[in-house]
Amino acid sequence: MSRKKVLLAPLDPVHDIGLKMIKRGLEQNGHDTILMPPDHTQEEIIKAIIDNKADVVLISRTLGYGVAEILGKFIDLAEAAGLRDRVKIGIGGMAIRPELAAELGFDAGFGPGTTVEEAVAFVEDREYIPAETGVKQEKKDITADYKYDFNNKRIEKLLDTIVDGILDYVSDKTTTAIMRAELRRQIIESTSESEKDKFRREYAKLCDDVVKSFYEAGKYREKTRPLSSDEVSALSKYVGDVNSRMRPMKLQHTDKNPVVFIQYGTGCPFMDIAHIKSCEAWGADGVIHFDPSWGARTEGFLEGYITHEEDGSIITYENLKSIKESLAPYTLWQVRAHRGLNTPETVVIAGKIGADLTKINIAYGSLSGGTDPERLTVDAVAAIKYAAEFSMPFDVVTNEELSGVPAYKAFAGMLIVSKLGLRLGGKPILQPLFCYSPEVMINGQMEDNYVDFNAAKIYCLRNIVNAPIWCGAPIGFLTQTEDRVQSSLMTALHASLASSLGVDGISIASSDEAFSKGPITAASRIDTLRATQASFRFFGHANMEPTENAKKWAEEMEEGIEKVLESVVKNGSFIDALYQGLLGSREDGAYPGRAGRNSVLTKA
Amino acid sequence: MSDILEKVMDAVDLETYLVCKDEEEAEKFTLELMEKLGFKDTTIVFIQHQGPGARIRARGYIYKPGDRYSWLFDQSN
Amino acid sequence: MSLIVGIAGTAKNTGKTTTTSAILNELYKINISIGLTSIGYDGEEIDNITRLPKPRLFVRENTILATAQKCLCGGNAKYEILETTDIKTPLGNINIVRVVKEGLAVVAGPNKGSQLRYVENRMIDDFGCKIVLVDGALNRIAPMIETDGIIIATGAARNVNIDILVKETKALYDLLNLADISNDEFLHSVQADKIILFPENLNEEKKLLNYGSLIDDSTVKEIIDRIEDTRIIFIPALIAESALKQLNDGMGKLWANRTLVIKDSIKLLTGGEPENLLNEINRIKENGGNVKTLRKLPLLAITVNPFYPKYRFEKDMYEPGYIDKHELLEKMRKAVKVPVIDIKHEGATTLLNTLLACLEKQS
Repeated sequence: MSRKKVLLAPLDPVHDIGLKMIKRGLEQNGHDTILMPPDHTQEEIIKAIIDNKADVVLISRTLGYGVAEILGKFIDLAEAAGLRDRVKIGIGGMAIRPELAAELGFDAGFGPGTTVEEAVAFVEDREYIPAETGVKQEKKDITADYKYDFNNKRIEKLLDTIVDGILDYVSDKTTTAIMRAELRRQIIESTSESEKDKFRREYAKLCDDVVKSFYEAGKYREKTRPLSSDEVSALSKYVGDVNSRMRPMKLQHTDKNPVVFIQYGTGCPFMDIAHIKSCEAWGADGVIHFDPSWGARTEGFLEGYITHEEDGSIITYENLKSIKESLAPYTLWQVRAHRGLNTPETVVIAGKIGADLTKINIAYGSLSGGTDPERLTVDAVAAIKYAAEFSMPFDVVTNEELSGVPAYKAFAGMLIVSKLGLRLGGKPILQPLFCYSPEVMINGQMEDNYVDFNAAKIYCLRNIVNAPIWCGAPIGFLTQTEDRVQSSLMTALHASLASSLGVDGISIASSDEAFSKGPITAASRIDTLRATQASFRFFGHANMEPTENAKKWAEEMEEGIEKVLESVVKNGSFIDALYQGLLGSREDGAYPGRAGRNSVLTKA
Repeated sequence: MSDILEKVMDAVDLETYLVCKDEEEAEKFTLELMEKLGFKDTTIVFIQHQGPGARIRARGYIYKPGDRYSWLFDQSN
Repeated sequence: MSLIVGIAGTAKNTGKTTTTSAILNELYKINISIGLTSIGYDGEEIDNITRLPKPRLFVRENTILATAQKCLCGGNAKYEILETTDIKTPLGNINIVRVVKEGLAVVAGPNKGSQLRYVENRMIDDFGCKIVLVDGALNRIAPMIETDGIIIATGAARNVNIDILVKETKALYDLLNLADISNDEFLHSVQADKIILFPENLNEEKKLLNYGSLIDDSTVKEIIDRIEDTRIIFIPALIAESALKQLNDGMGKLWANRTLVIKDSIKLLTGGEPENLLNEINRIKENGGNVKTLRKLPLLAITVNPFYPKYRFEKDMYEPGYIDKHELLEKMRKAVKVPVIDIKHEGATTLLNTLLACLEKQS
């Protein structure tokens, strides 16, 4: 590329910052630049072009009034002066659109939002390809840098004792969920339709009546319907079209900004995909599949492309596959299996389709998720084994905090399941909540600010173990209102707090988080992505500074965790500890779930 | 294309400031406004009344999850 | 035997497109092969849906069109692409196409003179066009030098005062009718892009200045400093009104028996307002000097439009306004010796005859 001489001139009485930025960009790319002062006549600019033997001229014009005539005249002057064939002339400014530039006879027009790179490309005679710099080309494995070394050896020892007990207990146990997971795997892997049907018949026998009637009589549950084949083929065209024009934004401003996940689950997999594609375009790094709550209380999964009129999108192999196929190759995808009666099968389907992450937590799923502790413990061990087999890291979410369980108890449960995961060859990710939980509402830790207590959680976990941390879910939960500006701001500030604390991932809500009277919209998702990006930009490498309370509360939390774990060890049984409320009591607001109670079977 | 509203992915949000005396009136006006604009499936997302009037955000759903979305089928996309 | 006609407007709404369109219609009647392009495009009316200028010219089959890539899908005419040129515009590369299905077209042609020349040559030499229409855009006038003659559309939208309008048009007319030296072989043989000061004896050493354009005071000063040895001042490029005025102020009676040769009137018209420029030209003459052009760009006709968008303050809106058509025509016809036509009411028959006569002359 040859070195160009570029004259930059404002056709305004005042200076244009845009020209200064472009000047800097051009100089960084090795070009010579001359920036004319403002308030020169057109003839003077023409003379400067001649005197300086400029190859390229960039004119800026900010004012819209009479712009067409003034700029048209400038081009005519350049032409009459014999410059037009050897000098390239571009025009930029708030009032400029490409159509206007064409109308005025310029070689290019740069409107609002033009990047310096675009102007440099024009100078260098290159076709401008919209900046894909920094756009993620590969997925980030947020577990990659962690060795899971425990700094708190006492806690590690307690966890090992508890995990030994769990593994010993489940060793001779099974459930219909575990059997279904194996059958599902056979259905997916089988190439023979008759063999698939045989497996399906066996599968149906292990399901609740509502699912059984689907397999045996083709009946759909109420408020669900199959998607038609034209809808399915339209979807594939839609996704293809969207992918061809995808130029995703980047949310992160520095390397230390966490990856950002959004949660989807509108009920309809197609609307989910439409939302996911919009979020990808606005820079979301990952997406989390939300299934309907009834799915967790029903034994067995349906099949086919099925839509649903309530929150949460139904897990079927086909639904998940169509979502997976619509994702950009760099988008992280999580399918949750943290509660309910189909945990192992969820992980199998997700793993077979190629999900990147899953979510498993026995303590949360049984204390706040409605699943029987014993049942979920047996299922979760099988689910974690599948997660390890399919190399899917899983987060251990602590949403029981939202029921009122204090953080230290929830963290004790999270650490137990994480240690269990490590023992089974999995890669757990700690998921503390960044929320305005009942615990702090009652005890006042967030009376002054939302920073300290959240910071305390991260300090505490970092003191205990070197493990990836992904703040959930969504961050800022219960701080958001129905006002979208307030809501987006809360999300963005929590995102920057998380970043400031050096966490690896965050899940963010839409600005509709606090709105409950209808489905959330694509626009509300963009609100918070945009706000998060702006906040990352604002802080860069600068940090928020918590008060001394953060350290103090972190120590208290760590002591609390240790005491809880000691009580669980003393109790002798993890499952019984869950029933007894050691990891979250009825007084706290946690109730052991009943779905699947007494359904654990002893292996034959 | 028969109707430009078919290009809306899910809903149209209308944000404005209404001059009114209290939140109840704001709600009434908001619903009236949305009806006047022709929205059929309206929800109020946000209302905050202070002194002179209310900041409002009303939502007219065009498609809800599970509907047949015209934009999905528009070949000219 | 071919003719390239430029249609330039003095302002928006002066009926430039109406003129182009009327000429096109007349030409279609006599079955002659037509090329059509424009200088950039007149995007005054942007279609809100397509974000393209509204198609305003109706083109028939076999018309050759040069327009930007993005404009090919505007309008409803259908085309066969003859050539995708290397000429880049913000609306895509210029394509030369043949109309295969008649309809409305969006014309956005090249916006540099040299590119316009290329397109015209291709249309005439390779695609058999006998007549090429070049639609102007906005106030762009400079590339019009690449035509054989221009039609100027003016009217109430430029100025609602008939006398001022006529005076201005007369100035344009006079400037375009400066005496030419098309027979002076010597000057024609000078291929200079810098101002040249010729001595009395043309064979003696001439002085080349640093600039081709007369746009600044240092050049003006240099000319005056050397005026004693100079008989002819040749300016090949732009002449700015302000610099010309400075030159006149400094020269005064020194103009006597000296000649200013400019390349063409367009180089003059680009640099200022017609009446002011004419005023300066007249000052030279009054002081005994001469002004000549190397190449004359004939003004073929003037079309006038009595319509203007009238702003009604009390209603805060525009409504159609008209000035006295008869007075306008009468005064204008008295002022200039080319056809003056109210294209909307009189049609383009006279124009067609003018063009055909020119075409005849060209051959």
